[in-house]
Amino acid sequence: MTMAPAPPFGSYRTRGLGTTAEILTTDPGAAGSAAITLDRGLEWIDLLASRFRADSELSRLNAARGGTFPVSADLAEALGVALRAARLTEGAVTPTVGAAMVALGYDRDFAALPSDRPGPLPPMAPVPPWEAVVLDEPGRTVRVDAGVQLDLGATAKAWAADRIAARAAAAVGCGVLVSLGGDVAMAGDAPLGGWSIGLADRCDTPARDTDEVVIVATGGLATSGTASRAWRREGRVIHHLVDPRTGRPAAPCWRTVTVAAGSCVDANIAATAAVVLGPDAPGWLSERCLPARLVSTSGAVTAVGSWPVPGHARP
Amino acid sequence: MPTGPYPPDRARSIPAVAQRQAGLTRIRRLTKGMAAAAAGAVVVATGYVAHARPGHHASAATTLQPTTPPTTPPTTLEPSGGGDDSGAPSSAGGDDGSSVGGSAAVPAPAPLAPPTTAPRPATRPQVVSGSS
Repeated sequence: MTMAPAPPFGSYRTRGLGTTAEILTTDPGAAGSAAITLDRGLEWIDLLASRFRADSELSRLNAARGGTFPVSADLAEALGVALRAARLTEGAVTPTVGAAMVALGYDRDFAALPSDRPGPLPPMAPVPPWEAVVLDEPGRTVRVDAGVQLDLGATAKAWAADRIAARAAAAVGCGVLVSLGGDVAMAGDAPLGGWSIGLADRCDTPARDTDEVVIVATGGLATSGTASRAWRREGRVIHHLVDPRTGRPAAPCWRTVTVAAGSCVDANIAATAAVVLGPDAPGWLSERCLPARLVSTSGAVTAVGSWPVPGHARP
Repeated sequence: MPTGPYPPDRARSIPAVAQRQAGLTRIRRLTKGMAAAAAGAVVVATGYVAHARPGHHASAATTLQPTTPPTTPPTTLEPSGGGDDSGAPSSAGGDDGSSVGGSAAVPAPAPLAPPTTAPRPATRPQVVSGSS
């Protein structure tokens, strides 16, 4: 098949949040302005919600170890997004997994994490329920129960992608795609035919090696999986997607789940929930009319809803 | 099996506290605003249903909430700025004015939004989506 040459796009790629970050613009001349928006957005979300820098607002909230605190409007919104995720997933995706993450060994930026952590695994125990966090978003206060450590990893990056894309599109007046570690948000008018996105277990996979390619034009698309941010402990592979029911990594079922949704954060909430829900995930996604592609640990692909082509992932 | 991060002394007092909590919860349901104002609390929203999800344990300890208002002012974190001059991208969504937490009075959140158009197959990717 002969392919038409790809139209020119503006693009800028950098690193942030421990992963790759990229912005594309339908107007090639807009790349410079869009790059500035991306760089500022990465610094903003890191300073707001990183668990790995002591000066972030989230780290200062966690360091207070329980109580009622005033928070900035941005952190109030970020917490609201995380608690909405918890409610919509009935606790499968919750910001209260922070202490469990630390107990499992994910206690620093992943790049600085040894591949093999010493010591036994912590005992299985449910993480605190999301109701341990009570947010008054208009009043900008949050009450956190003692012992609860917050982690916004399941929502903050995708939420930031949505916001950066919206801001960049408004600033440059053309179509924009933002990818933060594979969490993809789109804003403005998409290029003719839409944006084409390759799917893989890891976001650092070269484009030519992706398993499947789809076109989307609006909203967001996100992939969650167990192929990255994994380490070893007690001879076992530990990954970063915690099942709140056990405080342990989600049981092996899906190694990669990709969801398309009306926004990147909704896509990521659903993708993360799917990994945690395991065998129940296809039904859960279907009930919510969310097109999705689930790859099992053996490489078998399950397409949900209006997902286009069931393919077969590389083993 | 541990039931949560709560100290043993709180866990031992579960029956009495839970009983008292149930009474307070009923009162709060009826006069939530008045009770909150009288207690001087910022938001006192309790989780009546800790876990609706099958298999997600609703241990007694996890339903405990403070039953008395704080006697000292809340700890204040340093002001964090967060204004538009900080480089923060503007919010894409509006504020519905609701509180979020364990209160039964909180309206249900907006459901996860499906995409406006379904993904279509393609051949040449511009970006890659994978776990990071």
